[in-house]
Amino acid sequence: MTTLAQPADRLAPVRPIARGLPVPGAGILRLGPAGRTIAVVYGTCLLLALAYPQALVAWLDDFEPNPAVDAAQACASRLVALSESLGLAPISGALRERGKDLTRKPD
Amino acid sequence: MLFPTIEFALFFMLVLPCTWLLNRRNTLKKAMLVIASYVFYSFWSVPFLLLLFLSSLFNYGVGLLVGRIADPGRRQWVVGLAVAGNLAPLCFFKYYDFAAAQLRALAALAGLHLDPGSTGLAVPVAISFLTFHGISYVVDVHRGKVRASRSLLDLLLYISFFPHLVAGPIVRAAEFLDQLARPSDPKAIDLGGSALLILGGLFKKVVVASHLSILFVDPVFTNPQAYGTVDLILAAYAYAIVIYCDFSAYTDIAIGVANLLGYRFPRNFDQPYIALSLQEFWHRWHITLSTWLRDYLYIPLGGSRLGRWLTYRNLILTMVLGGLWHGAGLQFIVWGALHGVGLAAERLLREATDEAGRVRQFLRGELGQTIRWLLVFHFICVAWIFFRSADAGSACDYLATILRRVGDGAPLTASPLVLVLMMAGFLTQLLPPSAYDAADRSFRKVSVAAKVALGTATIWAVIMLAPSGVAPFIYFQF
Repeated sequence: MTTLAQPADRLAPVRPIARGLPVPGAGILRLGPAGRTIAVVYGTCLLLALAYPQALVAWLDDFEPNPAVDAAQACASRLVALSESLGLAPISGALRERGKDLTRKPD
Repeated sequence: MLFPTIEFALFFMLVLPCTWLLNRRNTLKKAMLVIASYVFYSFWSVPFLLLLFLSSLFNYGVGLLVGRIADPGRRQWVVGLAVAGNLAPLCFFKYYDFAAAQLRALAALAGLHLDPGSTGLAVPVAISFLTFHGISYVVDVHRGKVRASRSLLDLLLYISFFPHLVAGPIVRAAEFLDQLARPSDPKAIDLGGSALLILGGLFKKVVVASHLSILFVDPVFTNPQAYGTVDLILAAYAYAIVIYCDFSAYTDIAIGVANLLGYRFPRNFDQPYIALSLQEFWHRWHITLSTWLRDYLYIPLGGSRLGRWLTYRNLILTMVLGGLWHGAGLQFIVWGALHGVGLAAERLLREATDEAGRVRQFLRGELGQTIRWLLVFHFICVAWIFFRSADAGSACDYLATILRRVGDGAPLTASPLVLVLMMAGFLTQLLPPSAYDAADRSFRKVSVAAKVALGTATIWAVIMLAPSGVAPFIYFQF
């Protein structure tokens, strides 16, 4: 039976991260402490990008246009579309405006 | 590159897996971290990368030299020159213009024309912390607390490691170089404690410190004459909260980030505003700076070994120099002097009263402790007014306005939101160290998905509540 542990054994540099990969038959991916840390950091950043993609779009808008920025902006647009379809971007956008109002000086 | 930015998130997402992938190849990992740290610093200034490199190279060479010299007298000379060498760039970039201005003013008073010119240069970010780390390394090699590093790579990483590079905490060579000798133990990652430090730090900086500064502290300190006594006093309290939330946020995030990379940094804050004496305050506030000042300034000056009056002198001198380190301005010198005189007065009181006498018994009682807390907290707040003001004159004006406007019925401008933020900021510093262990225990029990959800929800809430644009951390200017 092929398990996820076998490829990890062949990849020595990955071992510290993948330590504690699944016991044969366990059926779930078990990560070592470093792997868990990376998974939590990446998961948090990706979920944040999905929950409030407008920040990413605004950040990319500040760059001079070039092919890499164009590609990143295209990805960000798809992320916005996905977030909007899930109803997350509009909620974040509305709440963010409220947040900015806290320190906005009256006209 | 500020911690609470997309740039840093992307940077860290790249550095974190690289660090653990290279963990078994320690030299390669350290080289990668040095490059990452130089990239991190280059976001502020590319030319000053040379200063960072030369400082590391200089201290590496001096460390080896000091390690080889057997004669204590000669070694002391070399260490003295090395300390001067470390201080020279700091003095040039940070204090030359200030000293030149003072000289010009003094000469004008004497009716003379003197123009020593000015550097016309910006103070390099991190120069103070760079200096602290350099001096600490050379002196510790001299004192035998750490062996001279044979690896230039280790020293480059010790001086430039990006979590502590810009605003601390000040990490001792003995604490850090040992950690570089072997691969990090992934089991030592305190994910829960680090998460609490990073998420709590983001909340303190982005929500509490930024809003309080924009809404209340900055306007009041910019034009104190426009406010009444209550607002002025509240703004002084608010600044005490702001500086705690701002600075502890930076070092908390730095400690958390370093831990996720497999390195331990010392604690820098421990509930500072519950202190019942100024001595206790300095055991709880910017701990790595106060212990640095104690070990590399107060003790070499003679500490408490030279008799009562010289001890007081050493306390005051140490704190004045500590104040001057914060910035080239009379207001910082006054801030340091106030703390120095306060510490000396506390010592005088301790020495003048009997341990088992009535005064000490009263001070140990509930009422005595309440009075002590009130006195210490307000003393610290008055000193912060000097620290926050543009110059010493403005600080004196601020204090005079508090007294002048008593009872003039000026309307209160501090909004309920300001009061809520002040309360929230004050409560964050009451979090005991045991809370981090408890957070780690709880965090270990939940799944990766739950950890991600918790982290995302917290950061999302912080982003939603953030003002437009987050100001740099206060300590970046030091």
